[in-house]
Amino acid sequence: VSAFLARLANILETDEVYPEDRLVEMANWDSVSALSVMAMADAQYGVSLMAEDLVSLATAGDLERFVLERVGGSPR
Amino acid sequence: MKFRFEGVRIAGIQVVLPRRAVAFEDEMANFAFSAEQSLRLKKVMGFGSHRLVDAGTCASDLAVAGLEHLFGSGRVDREAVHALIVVTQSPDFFMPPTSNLIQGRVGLGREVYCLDINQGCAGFVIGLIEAFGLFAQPDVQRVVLVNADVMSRKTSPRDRNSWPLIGDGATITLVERDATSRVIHALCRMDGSRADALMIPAGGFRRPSDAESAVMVQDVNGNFRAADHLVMKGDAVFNFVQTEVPPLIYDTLALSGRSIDSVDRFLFHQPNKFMLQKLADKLATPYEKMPANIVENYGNGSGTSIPQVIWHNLRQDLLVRSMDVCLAGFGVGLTWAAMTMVLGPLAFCDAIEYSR
Repeated sequence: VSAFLARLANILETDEVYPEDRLVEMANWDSVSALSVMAMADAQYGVSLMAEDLVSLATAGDLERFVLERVGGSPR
Repeated sequence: MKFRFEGVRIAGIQVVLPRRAVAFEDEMANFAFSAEQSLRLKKVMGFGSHRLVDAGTCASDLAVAGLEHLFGSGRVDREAVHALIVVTQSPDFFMPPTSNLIQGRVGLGREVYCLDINQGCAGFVIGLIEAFGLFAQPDVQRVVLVNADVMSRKTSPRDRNSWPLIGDGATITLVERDATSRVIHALCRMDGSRADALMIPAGGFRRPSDAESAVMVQDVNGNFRAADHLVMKGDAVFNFVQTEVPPLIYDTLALSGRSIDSVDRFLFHQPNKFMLQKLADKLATPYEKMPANIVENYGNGSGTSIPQVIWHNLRQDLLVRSMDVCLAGFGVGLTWAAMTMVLGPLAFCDAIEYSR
């Protein structure tokens, strides 16, 4: 499990998150989690996520890729 | 814009809180979320109870109560006030200015210069900048800065995004000339291109309130609000604060020759505990140096938040000694402003409760 997915699991208060897990189907995926994910992306990776970014991402793996691709300068 | 002030100080702070305290749990049924979901929000954001005015109470009512307390107790001489600055987003009327109304109600003299400022969460720092600036006039010895808002009256009780954190209240800050005070530095930045992150869409001249603006509509997150209500883009505001505030603080500290470690307290606006702890992490300063306990006790009162932080956490210390502090407010506008000063000893730092 990657460091990113471990952090995501911690936010979602679950043991493990797999790349293929669909975000909207996860028990604690809501606006509170979304804000925590934004905070985690900002603090750990220096990436600013917007709520609409999260809506466009289907799986935990998509989210991880989205954040890691933007490390060191957002293309936004 | 950079600011530099000499020969002025904050002499005292009076907090006015509505007596009515409402707990988060008692309002959860208004939200379109399960109790479990809302309790999780409470835990993450650090909500507790908030202070709300009774129906019909206006910002000026809170301010007048605080001023009458200060005049009645002899802490401030009614005749010695030269200017009254009122920072509010919830004026009694579009016209006349709320500061003039307060002047009339508490009987301040006709030479008193009254000024309203429309500002929100940066409203304490902005108000201080304007108050300090008046001391360029040789006759000005004492300025009263009022921060007062009753934003609960413009917030939907069914909006879980904003309602649980809103708090009403007023604070009165006495600013005095003081030849011995240290230089005060401030830095203010604004970005009106992002003004839609925090606004009340209807009720002004652009979109007057009507039957349609009062219709409650559910947003994508499940919150109900009308165009007459405050709307906050939570994600945009979060990113704004985390991106813009740390450089503001570094630049303000550099202006004044301070470092993060040399500051005794970071007395910031209080959006919620979550955002403040993220800010403390980014600034690499311990949570103890950045008090974040106002929203859980009283709610986020916009411009009143910094005086409330000072009163709630530091009143015992500041009545007897001084501290090196960095203030910062950030929010509607968008506006973000910081200020460094030596604060205290204060002549008074007190709170009263208000009910109709």
